Amino acid sequence: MIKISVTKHYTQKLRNFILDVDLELDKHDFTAIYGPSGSGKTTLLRIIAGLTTPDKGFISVKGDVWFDSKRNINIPIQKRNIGFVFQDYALFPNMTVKENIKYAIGKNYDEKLIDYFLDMVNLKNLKNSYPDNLSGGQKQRVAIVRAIVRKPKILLLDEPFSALDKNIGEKIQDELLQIHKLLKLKTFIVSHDVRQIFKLCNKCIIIDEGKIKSHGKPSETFNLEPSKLIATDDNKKIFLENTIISHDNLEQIDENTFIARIVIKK
Amino acid sequence: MESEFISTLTVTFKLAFYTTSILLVIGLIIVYILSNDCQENKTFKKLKPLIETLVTLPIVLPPSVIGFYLLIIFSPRSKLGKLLNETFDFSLAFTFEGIVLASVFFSLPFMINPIYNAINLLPASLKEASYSLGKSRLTTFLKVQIPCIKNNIISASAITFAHTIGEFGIVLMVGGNIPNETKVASIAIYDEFESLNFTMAHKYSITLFLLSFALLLTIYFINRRISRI
Repeated sequence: MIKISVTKHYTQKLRNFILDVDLELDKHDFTAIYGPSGSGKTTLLRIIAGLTTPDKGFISVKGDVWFDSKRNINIPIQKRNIGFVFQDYALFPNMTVKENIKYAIGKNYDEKLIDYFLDMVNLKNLKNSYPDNLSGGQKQRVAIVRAIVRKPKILLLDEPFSALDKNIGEKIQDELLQIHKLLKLKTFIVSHDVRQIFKLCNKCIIIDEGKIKSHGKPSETFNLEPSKLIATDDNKKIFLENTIISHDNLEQIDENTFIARIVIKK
Repeated sequence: MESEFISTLTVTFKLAFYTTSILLVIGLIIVYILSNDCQENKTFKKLKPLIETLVTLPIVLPPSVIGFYLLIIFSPRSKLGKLLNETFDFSLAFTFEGIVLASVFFSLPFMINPIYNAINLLPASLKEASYSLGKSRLTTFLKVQIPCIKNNIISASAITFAHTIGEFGIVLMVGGNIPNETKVASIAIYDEFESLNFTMAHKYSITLFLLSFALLLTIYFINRRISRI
């Protein structure tokens, strides 16, 4: 169980608002943090990681208190046992793929474990390459393996697929889902992509101007409830009732708009 | 004459070598302190601009100002000077150790500023990724940040070395012009020129020019090869 109840005064270039979040999540959830740009998604992720300190509040993970402003507790990021995947991958350019992963594990590394994870994401042949010689997708795979190889309590991903080609992004999403299930991780992903959220996540938080607008299953949070007008056919309005829309039928138009493709039997 | 020529060049390059080596160590320590995120330590946050200003000051101050105050601070009449003299037998004026110390102060920004700027230009996500993998700030600094800016460190060392070889004002003020002890090539050139001994002045000048050129060329060549790897 993860409990997060924090506030943080959030300053942007032209506006100020207070990030005010109160959440309880079950173990092994794959949770998406969705919202418009500048809504506080990444700040929330950084607060969980310990990279940003909230003004006040409380964070506990599986009974361990990570932050409590009243008791002056703030466990540093190094001791939170998290895995963080950055938007720019943040691979260490002075180390090869294998060295990046060895650095993450520390002194008592197991060569077979490194090979096992690299094999899982089809990177075994590139283990002696430097990050500069890898494609975006390969870098992202290394970043994910580096983050999970320490078996973290929580995996945090900050828009990990935003810079990737759609097909490669989807392949890596499959691998990520496999890793999440295999390691029974608690995963948070900041994402702008509704299709991706439906594919990966069983929980979704919609956040806007620092406040949680909606929280629950993706289908609930995106208002895909029955009787919602979502499509037209031959200029006739069609209302869907009790319809479950699979992520395969969703297509994102822009940050806030997505359409569902449906087949209507006449 | 020939032996004085060699001894002057030896003092010059010895001074540059010691200054660069000492500054490399001091510089990395100061950069480590200055590049602290200091989110928690508010006092340090306020002191940071002061430290940055003090480090950069030698660039804008005339060498004579620094030389003057160093002579005052380390004079045998001052408490510090007396203590150092009695404990370590150290004297600033007219000694090789004295010109090394003065040179270290004067060349501080040439070593620190390029390294500090390079560290600040690295993406914050690199050190944050290292922290997220459980690594301490020191481990992150030594194993991630420093190797990522090794080219800048080589360049900073080369510039500090070259700058020290050409140092004139502060060395003359603190060390005087004692052959085999504090007489460096730049002072020797001025000395020979004043004595209208143009041949000797030219000999020093061309040697200094060629050695400095060859040294910098080698360092930049190595730097370029490292950056390709």
